[in-house]
Amino acid sequence: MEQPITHEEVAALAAEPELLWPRKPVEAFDVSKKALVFQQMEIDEDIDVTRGTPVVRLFGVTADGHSVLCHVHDFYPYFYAPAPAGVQPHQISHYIQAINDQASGLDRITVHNPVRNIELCTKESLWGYHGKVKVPFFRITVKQSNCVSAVKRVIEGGVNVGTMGQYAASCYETDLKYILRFMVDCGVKGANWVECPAGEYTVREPEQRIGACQIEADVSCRELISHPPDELEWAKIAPLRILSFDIECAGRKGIFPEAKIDPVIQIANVVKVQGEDTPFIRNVFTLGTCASIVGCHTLSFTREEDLLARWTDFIQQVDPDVIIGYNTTNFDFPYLFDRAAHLKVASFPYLSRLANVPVKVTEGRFSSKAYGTRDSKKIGMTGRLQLDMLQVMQRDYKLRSFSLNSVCAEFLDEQKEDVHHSIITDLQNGNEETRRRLAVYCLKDALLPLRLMDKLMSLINYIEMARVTGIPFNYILTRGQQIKVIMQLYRRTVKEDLVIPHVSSQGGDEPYEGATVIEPRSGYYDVPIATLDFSSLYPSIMMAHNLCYTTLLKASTIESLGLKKDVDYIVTPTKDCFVKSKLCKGLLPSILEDLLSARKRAKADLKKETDPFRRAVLDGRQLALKISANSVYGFTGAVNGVLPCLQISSSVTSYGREMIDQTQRAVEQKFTIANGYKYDAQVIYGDTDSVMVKFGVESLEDAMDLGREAAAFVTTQFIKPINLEFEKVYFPYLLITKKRYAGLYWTRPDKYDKIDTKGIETVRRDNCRLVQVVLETCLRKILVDRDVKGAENYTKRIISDLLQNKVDMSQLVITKALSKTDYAGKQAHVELAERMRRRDPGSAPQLGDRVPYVIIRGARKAAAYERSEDPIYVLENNIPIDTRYYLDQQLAKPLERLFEPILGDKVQQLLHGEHTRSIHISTPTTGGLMKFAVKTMTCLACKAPLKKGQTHAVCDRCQDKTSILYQKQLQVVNDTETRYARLWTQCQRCQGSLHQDVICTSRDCPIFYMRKKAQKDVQSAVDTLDRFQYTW
Amino acid sequence: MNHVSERAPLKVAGQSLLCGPRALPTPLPTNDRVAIASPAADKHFSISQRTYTQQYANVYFVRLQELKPVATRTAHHTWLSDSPALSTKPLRYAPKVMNIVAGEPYFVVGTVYCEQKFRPNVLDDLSKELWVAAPPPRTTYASDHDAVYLEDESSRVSLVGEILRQTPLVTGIVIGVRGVENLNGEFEVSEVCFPGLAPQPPLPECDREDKYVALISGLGVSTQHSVPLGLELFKEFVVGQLGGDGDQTLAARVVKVIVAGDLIGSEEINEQLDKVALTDTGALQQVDTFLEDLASSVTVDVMPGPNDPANHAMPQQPLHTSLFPQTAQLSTFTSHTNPAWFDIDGVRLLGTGGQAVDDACKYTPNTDPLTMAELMLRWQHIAPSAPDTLWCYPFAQRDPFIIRQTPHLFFIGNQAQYASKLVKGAEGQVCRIVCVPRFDTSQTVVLVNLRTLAVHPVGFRCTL
Repeated sequence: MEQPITHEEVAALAAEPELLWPRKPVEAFDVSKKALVFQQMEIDEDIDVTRGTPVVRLFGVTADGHSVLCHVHDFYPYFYAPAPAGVQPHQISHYIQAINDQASGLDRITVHNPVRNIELCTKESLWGYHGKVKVPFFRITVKQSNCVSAVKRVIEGGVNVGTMGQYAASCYETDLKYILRFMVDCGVKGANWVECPAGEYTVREPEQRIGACQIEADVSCRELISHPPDELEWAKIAPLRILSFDIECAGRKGIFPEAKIDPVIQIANVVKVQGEDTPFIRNVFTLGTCASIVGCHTLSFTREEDLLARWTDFIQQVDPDVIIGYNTTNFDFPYLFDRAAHLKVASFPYLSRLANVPVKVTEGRFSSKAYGTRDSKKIGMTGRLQLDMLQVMQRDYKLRSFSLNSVCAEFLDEQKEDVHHSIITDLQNGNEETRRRLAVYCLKDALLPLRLMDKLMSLINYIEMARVTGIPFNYILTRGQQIKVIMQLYRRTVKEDLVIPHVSSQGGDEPYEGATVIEPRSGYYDVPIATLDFSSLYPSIMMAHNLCYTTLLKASTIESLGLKKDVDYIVTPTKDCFVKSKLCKGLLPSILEDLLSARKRAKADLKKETDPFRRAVLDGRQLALKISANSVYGFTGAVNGVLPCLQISSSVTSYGREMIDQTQRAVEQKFTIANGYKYDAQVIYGDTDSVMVKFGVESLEDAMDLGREAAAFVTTQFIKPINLEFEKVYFPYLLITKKRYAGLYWTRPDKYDKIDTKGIETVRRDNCRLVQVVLETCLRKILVDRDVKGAENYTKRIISDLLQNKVDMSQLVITKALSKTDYAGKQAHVELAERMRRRDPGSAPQLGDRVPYVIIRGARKAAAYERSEDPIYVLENNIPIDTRYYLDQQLAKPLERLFEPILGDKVQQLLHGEHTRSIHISTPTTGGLMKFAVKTMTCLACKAPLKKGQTHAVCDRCQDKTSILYQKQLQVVNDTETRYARLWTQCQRCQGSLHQDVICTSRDCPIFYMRKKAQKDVQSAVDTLDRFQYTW
Repeated sequence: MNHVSERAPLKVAGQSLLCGPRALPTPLPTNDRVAIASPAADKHFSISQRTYTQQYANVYFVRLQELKPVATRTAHHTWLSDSPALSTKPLRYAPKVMNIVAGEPYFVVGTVYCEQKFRPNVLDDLSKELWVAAPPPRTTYASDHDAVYLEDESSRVSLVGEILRQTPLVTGIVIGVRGVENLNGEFEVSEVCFPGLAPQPPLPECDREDKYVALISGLGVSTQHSVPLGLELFKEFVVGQLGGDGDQTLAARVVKVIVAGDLIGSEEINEQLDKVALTDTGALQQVDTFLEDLASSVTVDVMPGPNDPANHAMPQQPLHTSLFPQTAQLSTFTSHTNPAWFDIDGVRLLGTGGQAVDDACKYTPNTDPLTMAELMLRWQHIAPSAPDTLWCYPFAQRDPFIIRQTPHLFFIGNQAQYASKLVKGAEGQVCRIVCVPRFDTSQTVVLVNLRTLAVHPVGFRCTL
């Protein structure tokens, strides 16, 4: 909003909030004078039906916020195949004819004469060095992209070309998709700005349009200008419209909602413009009336069909560029489409930017070495990007739990109200006030993903990643790391007349030798430990030794070209040969050089930049560049990947190993008393790309000086650009085993940066929170306070508290997702879910729910899985917790590991010492013998049973102790009352309403169990206090 | 009118030392104490059967239900009598927050909720520690990034506007606001209106006799020291053993001593916390003796304070009589709740131990306790920040902290400084507000004339 809005305008919009939905209308412009410049966000391919030609469609937004669909013509798919020896240009038409004839005979081909053209050119295969000799290749252009594989099969199978004889060849670059080919050839990067120059494009009249964008244009690929995003002017981001939404459905008690049965009752939407702080549309679609919400537009419907249809209408009017939400891909969207199909709302699926194409949901599987394998649905919504924040979180972060609640607690530092799905139906079936309550909740769930995205800069970082690696934006969430490297390779080969062969996967999954570790000298170091790091180790090895596909040598090539070892080529520690850069500069090394120098530039710009938004973009860029550089090595080692080359990857790791060893030798030989240093330096540990050195000095400054000196010294022993850097000092440093350590991290001598840990399980999900808290506190005490004794005492106190049942239950809850019912082995959470179902089918956890449980005391030989119990049930019935289990199974191992280097054998004392003698077991109120027990009051002082019917606080003999006992009890009341008050007022605040009861059941919240317990504790404390009323 | 200056008792302080502290005072026959009716202790703030299954929402709900009509009446009166020419559009009343339509001038009544940065937050404290210890005391909750909301049972709206910076607001008060909702859904407030003073029964007029009530708080008795000398002096003054005839005449007109919280020194309690066994000798015994002496001459009413052995959540229930075995035997002694209502021959007194005012002052750093007390009268609520930041019992059916009737005397115990003010209402209500300073730091007792509501701070400073 540029101008302040008057009250009258506000009133007008309030009366008709729909006025806010559409984009600003496009003012008429002259295509011959004005260029069409826009940021493209999505690219897909299409066929021009009338001409039968392929078309690239770019969807995007102009700097003024107008949506654009641009049809790019004249770009045809092509690939390469080696030309037969001695073929002449005039003979090519015979080849075209022969291939077309044979291809037309195939059943599956839909295009007549699929080959459009064949050109003769000279190219060289990417794979291996062959003396830089280019050979003739056919560049085979086909009419449509779906012809590629058929034509390929024809060529690979062999064609009879009349007098020229049989032609058969293996094809190159057939795997590159049409739109990616287009992006490579036209220099289009992911989410970059493109321009249709004035006079070179046409704009379609409304009746000619196929899309729902404001401007629809046609341009030839020859005229299209792509602006490189690393130019300052084109680093900007268009005012994208971002819609975040959340749906609620009314499930039945105890059953997860099913689209065929359970209605969609609410859809909350929040829309904002990228770069602005607050959303300009907030609305909620409700089934049934809904009391109005301040600052929010409520649209009520009596028929669910109308609600769904209106929502599609809303989406089309708002025309969002990006749609986000939390678990929208696997829940909200599929549910909406299934529901609409069930209700036969024909207009519903038309959510995309193509007017006549309904959105389809397909099953897909995402598999990546870096991100793991996950089944996921795919929502094909052409022209609108989707960013499911749940997928973003799962991809980019390691967390205990990915519920929206715990993610918000982690990143937004706030707890979120969580309404259990069984209550949702009750709220829906209530009145307009209860539905309003639900709407407020739904609205919050729609807003949170947006805030999360802003806070984590997800959109900006992803846009930068797409720009840096040149892949389409939507590939970032749906594809792994490989495609990023492939695209960079293609962008390079196209300029250097190289062609990329099709390589079938190399052998099985057999792992090659990994990175080395110098055997750790475990212990607690109370002196500074300097850490020397190879900066970008693997990329710099590849650059230093010129390791690439194009430099790989075969023994036969060495012979035939008469190359000399160490003059013309090198032999790596794995006995593979690569030519030196004077003969041929490798492709991968130059990609890496570009990436790393671009990163250096971005970092330098970042330092200078003051504008917070541009800083965010630059930071996202340098991060993207770093990740991309590091993924190149992995690409060559991915045996099942597109272009695996183990000669490269295993050479890289073996160089790495050598370098770590060499560093150790160099440091330990130079920094000795004999050489005039104060102490003999010792390398206590080394891993992948870093070496930890104990120089022996006691001050941080000295350690840092020596670290810098050592780094500079060792660097001189290696080939450029390999660079050993001194980065940090750990002081103190706790080295447990290999890949497990913790230390206080210093980069300047005056103030430490952080506690740095590796391999110490604080976030593992099957741990209870107590483990995390205890480990973190111990580490803080050991490292920050340097108080080992304090950490021991703290641990003892916690163990003692645990055994005496004083630890809050929320610390002991273990949570697991109930993902399927037929687990092979018996599992605690599955067993519990089954038991809960028998107790009350309505409240029992459903498939997909996360089941929280604690381990309770049970029969002597009962397995742990039989002793799992619902924490709420435990609280309500005073069931004793198996504190031993928590000590032995949860705390013991991590604590042993942590304290072993410090205490040695004495570690057992920590776990089994004096402090573990006192044990308190609470008395259950149900089950077992309690049925037969008779309750009698006992004297609060001497515990003697009181006479039947007496409820006094003390027995007759203890009368004189009354005042003391009273004050003691008062203390208990005050403590519990304060807890009760603090916890319940917090929930009242958190739910955002003072006048309504708290209904939140967020089990991820640290106070959920606490507040339940506080309620019981204060009641029992007050009841006991009341016994004093009758004493006098 | 016999004005008691601070110096007068000081002069006679030395003489009183001659009397042994344990010597029972004998009232002088010439100055018989003025008699008053002694009704049973007011039960307004007592809780008979405490349960904790209900939630705090009830407190707010009941409060709003009772105060909304009051605030609405005042708002109607204030704003709808405006000359209509002032605004282009007519001002309308929104019965509920959700009825507000953006762009239209409205006024609406609801509960204030202040989202404040430095407010104690149990989640923050939890992330630092494992348990829920009492929050570290903060001097203020306010910061520059605070937000104010107005809510009723239907919904909540964010309030914006310069006027909010100038108006002291506390979470939990019920107020009316007028303004216009903007496109972001924020309500731009132009004016704020409080419920105003509650109705008041007239001061009894038949009485021509001067009667005084003595207000004292924060005695700070501890085990280490004997009862402080100043306290002894006060006792002797009340029983009529101190000063000249004038003083004694005045003393005889003191009909009641009210201890507005904190008999015991704060360090005393903290130390007892860690001890396994509590001692019932020491501080409590000394207090018992002191009270017994007083109560043998005048009616003594005791309210618990923040440091006393009583429950800490509001309202504090009466100190258990077993804590004062000697005094408890006397019919002149009554143990009260905090807060508490008193009736002295028709004069209505409302007293608090000071916790509510202290807490409310943290919301608006520029408001002093006396002003806050006056605001509370105008808000018709003496503990608005309960339960949000002032812990209180989760009342389900009623909110006892609502002031349905403006008292004649409203006193706040345990304040740092003495302060007093006479507040007058539109319907002729008159209320004397007294901030009673802690005795252990100020050695000051406040005498209030129940006939005229005149107020006299009396110092018992003793410099040896």
